[in-house]
Amino acid sequence: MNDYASIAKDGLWSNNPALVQLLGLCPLLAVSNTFVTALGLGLVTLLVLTAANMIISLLRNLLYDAIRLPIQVLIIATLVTLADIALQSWYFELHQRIGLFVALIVTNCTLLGRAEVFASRNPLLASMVDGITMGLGFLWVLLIMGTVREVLGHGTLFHNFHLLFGAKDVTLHFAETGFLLMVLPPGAFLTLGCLIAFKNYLEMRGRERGKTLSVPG
Amino acid sequence: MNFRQLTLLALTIVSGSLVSGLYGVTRDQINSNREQFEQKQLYAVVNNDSLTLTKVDGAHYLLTDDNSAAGSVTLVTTKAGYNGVITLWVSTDEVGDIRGVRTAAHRETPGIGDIIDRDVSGWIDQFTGSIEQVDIVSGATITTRAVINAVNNHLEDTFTADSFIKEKRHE
Repeated sequence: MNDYASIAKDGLWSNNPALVQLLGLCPLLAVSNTFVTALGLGLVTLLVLTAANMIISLLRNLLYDAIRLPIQVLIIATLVTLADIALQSWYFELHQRIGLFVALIVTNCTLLGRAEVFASRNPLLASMVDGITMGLGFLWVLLIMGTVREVLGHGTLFHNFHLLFGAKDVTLHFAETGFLLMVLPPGAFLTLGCLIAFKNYLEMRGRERGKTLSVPG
Repeated sequence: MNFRQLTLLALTIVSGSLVSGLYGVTRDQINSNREQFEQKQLYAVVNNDSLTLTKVDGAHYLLTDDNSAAGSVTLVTTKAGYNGVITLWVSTDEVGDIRGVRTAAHRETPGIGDIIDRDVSGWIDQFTGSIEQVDIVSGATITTRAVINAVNNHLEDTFTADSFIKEKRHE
């Protein structure tokens, strides 16, 4: 497996920021109650994470120990503020819904974690791939949680989708009311817990199958 | 100053200029977005696009129809809800009939008290015309009663009529 493929596998699955590193739980749990808010925040996180990784990788020769963390935080905070202003300018109604959590991306440890662990030690292209795949890893978990929680909690799917892409309303309705618990924070913990358990189960099964196969005979 | 301090200083200046630069470029757009958004919310309360809104202050707008007065839109608040303050836009015509009511801000329980939010349910659409009764929703009694009382208080303060909205209960 070449370098980039293993970086991608890390971000999307084996070292997934949400399922394995358990970083960025605050925005993950807060915005995953509908599909559209999850998608909106996931995309912003993906963009900011990739940009932060690239910039920090470019500046990695300037990152002396004493000023390393302030610089990383400064870059991340700047990018998040830029994204926040851009959202207000282009997607104002979406910003009304997820604006609070966009600012919280600064505190998403995934960003500082990738900057510190990966981007400050690796070249530009590898850092970009890491940023994109870690961001996508975060995004797919958010989307699954958003889907599950919206269907069970609200009885709808893709509600407010037009806020993001300007097309007409494409909301699917399954039920009049939903299961309240799924909308509230405990629903987020339950969904995430089930996802983590399912991932661990798949990995364990994979390992055992590997064992059986490697038995000489 | 050594090289590290200069690096940090330079990066801070670059970041600061980027943020203020983007803000400068988008400020007008953001302000007009905000105004449009508020107008849209206000016209949803008014229920009539042909009327003209004139801002008196942040909590009070006057409605005119070809220069003749056609009522108002007022921001009404109540602390009688289940959790914190509920803010409502209430629009009336000149004689005290309601044009519409919308919840501007609330912190009622998601899934229970948030039925007063137009995005969640159509409950608030009952406030229209010269209504006499509005449903109290079981499970959300405190919230719905708070909204009805707030609207009543506003009508009482603004008009001398005494035909106020009563609660309707389903047995």
